Amino acid sequence: MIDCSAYVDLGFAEVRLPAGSHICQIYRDEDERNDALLKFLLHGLRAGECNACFSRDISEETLRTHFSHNGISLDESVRSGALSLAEAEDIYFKNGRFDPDLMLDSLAAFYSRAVNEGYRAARVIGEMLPEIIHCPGGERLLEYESRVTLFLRNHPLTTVCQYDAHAFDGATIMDILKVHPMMVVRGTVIHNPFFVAPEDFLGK
Amino acid sequence: MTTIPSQVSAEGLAKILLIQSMANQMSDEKAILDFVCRGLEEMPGAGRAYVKDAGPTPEHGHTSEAARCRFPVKLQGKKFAEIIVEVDSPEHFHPYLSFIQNLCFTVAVMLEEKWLRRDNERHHQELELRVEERTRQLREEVREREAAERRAVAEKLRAERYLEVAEAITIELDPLGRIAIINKWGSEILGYAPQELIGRDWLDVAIPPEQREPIREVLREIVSGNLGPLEYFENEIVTRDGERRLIAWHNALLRAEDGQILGTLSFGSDITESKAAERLLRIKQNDLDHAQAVAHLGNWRLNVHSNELTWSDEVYRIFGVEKGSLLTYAMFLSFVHPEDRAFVDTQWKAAMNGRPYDIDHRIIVNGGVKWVREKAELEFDERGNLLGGFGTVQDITDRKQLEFDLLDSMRAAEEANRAKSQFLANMSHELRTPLTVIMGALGLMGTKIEGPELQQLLGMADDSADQLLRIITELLDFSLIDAGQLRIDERSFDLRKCTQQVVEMFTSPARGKGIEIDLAISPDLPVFIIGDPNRLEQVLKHLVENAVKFTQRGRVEVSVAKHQKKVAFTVRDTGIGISPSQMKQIFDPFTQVDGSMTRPYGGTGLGLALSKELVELMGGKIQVQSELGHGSTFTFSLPLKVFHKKEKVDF
Repeated sequence: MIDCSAYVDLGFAEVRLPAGSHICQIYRDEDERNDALLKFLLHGLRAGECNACFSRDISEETLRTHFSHNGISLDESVRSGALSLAEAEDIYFKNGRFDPDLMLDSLAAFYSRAVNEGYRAARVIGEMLPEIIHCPGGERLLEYESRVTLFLRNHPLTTVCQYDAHAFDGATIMDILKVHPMMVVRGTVIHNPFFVAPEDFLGK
Repeated sequence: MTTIPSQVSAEGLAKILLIQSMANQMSDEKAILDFVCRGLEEMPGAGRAYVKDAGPTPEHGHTSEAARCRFPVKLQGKKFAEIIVEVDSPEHFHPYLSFIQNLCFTVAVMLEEKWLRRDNERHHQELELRVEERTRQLREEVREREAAERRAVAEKLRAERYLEVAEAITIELDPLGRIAIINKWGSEILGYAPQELIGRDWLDVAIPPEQREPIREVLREIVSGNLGPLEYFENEIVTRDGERRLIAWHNALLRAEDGQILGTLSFGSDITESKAAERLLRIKQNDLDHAQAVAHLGNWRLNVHSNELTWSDEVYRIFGVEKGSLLTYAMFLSFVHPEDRAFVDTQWKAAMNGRPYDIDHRIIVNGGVKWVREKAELEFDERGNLLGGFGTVQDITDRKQLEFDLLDSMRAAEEANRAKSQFLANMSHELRTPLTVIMGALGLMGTKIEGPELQQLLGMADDSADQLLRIITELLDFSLIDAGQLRIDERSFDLRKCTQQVVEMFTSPARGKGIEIDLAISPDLPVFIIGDPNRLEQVLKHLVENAVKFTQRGRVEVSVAKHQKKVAFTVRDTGIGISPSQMKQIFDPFTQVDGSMTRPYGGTGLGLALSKELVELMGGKIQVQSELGHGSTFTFSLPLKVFHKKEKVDF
């Protein structure tokens, strides 16, 4: 059973956050993205959590090297189920469309597995792809993110959503911020003042 | 210390600060302004927020001008854009105005920084590009300069090599006529080492003494600029051994950049041998021209590849055309006599297809007619295309005139001969008529007169008349043959009977002389053949009569045999024979075996000549074999034409 009151270390921020936090990272470049991703997963693995990563352009070799330097075997982690790796396209755009329900089902399945397998905590990091704007179902992105916030209240998966600041327009970025209660600003995790509670957001 | 109004919430300020922090992460000014506007919309009391950068201000619903807050964004002191916030609740929004103005100022700085950075990057990139381009240009220039220097060195070396290996004298003289440069070929021709020649006076070294001063004067005029360079001239040089060589020179002036004459550069070719060969060729050509003129024989040559037709001088003369005139086939044809033109054209076209070309024809030259004989040997490639050819034209007018004169003479002679033969034929006929009367009268007289003396005289007159008749008859036949009027009959007759009658005719006279006369007829001969029995009998009578006449002892044998498709008649005797010299003219008219014998043996001298003519007219040939003192054998053969029953038989 995962302890909802437990605090977890994100790895890239100074503070520990309650398990099940929903955090948005708006990154400027690949280094910033990779730095957060690698630290987040490394700390999860070190902490004995169940980890999932949906990202693009991050090679297994990069992960293997980074983990290896920190005494962790990528292959072993994957083989044991402590780390699930998937291409972001395969997760977000199943059947050629973005379906928040399927996504939430996937998150639920992941959470169940972590619980069933006895992990003390679970964490997910995913990179949202800019293609979602033009993808069928893409207009439900904000709905999805808002529902994730709701979902996490009962399924304490610590979740980081990564968005490329250069790939989305300014208005969309602001909209995205509204559906994430926490955000990372210059390596610091803060409560998002623009956050709109899911009840309100989805109620609108 | 800034006082924060009490209406300002921490959350509102946090939003402004967060906008400020996050905006800088946006990619461009539009993204920044959009982000800021969308963030301002989240401020307390705020409605819509948008950017006015150009064009009329959009109207949004009921919001009045007073409800709008404008936040200029200035870049380098100038308004770049304006953020307009439609305020729903001024009392909640206005407390943040100063913070928002500060935000907009920060945004402006942010944009300016981005621009500057972008400009700097662009300038930097441009600078890098320029540096890179200039570096590339410099590298290229260096490469080109190095390549040019290498080329120049290579060209110089190559030129020097050319000069060394060239079979031409290359010599550079300074303005005083001293040798500055001379190549290997030049020094070798002169018989010196190059270093022996450098600096020496060219005229003193190489020019024959009698030519030095005139050439020196010309050289002086050239280097002083008074005379242009003689681009080509020929003169003799003297080698170290004293041999004189003829050199053809090509010359150029060497000038400095300021135009000052630095000297002369000359290239000389040794033409001693070629000039001698040219002289010899000229002599040979003159001889050939002379020979052609004497023989009235010219020649031409055609080269299809170069489209050149050349005539020798004699051909020009024969055709009466000025030497060097344009030559075409059409022009040639215009000279040909109109009556011969089609013939010549046909023959020439046939020659173009490989047929021989050897014709006589007429040409019209200056209104007169000439005869020419033309021969050509044309050359073709393996596909039959004409390559060219060689031909001769000979003026044969004189020879043709002689031929025509001779032909006229022959025709006149033949005409005269025919007239003579006609005369003889007529005369013979006219003589035979009264002679026949005389002979008839003598026969009558024989029945009237008596006494041996008168009978003897009458017998002599009768014999003479008979002989005279024979002579006249033979003369008549001969003249008929000569005049082409004697006809040979073609009819069937009994060959055995004809032959036997002739032999029987002379059996009695032969026995009277004590000689035997035999006849042998081959059994494989047909009885009847086709021919002229009278003329056959005439020939046989001549031969048998002669055999009996010129045989004093022994025998005369007459035989007739089949020989292939011919009938061979042989008359052999054991008489006096014929000498080799007499054999040559045995068949000539008025000739007998021995002139001296004519009298003792009698005869007209026409018998054998007439026999030969008759045999030949009948399609046969007569021959004689004889040895003086051992008899003679005359043989003639006639075509065997076998009689078939349909034809009429003459018994």
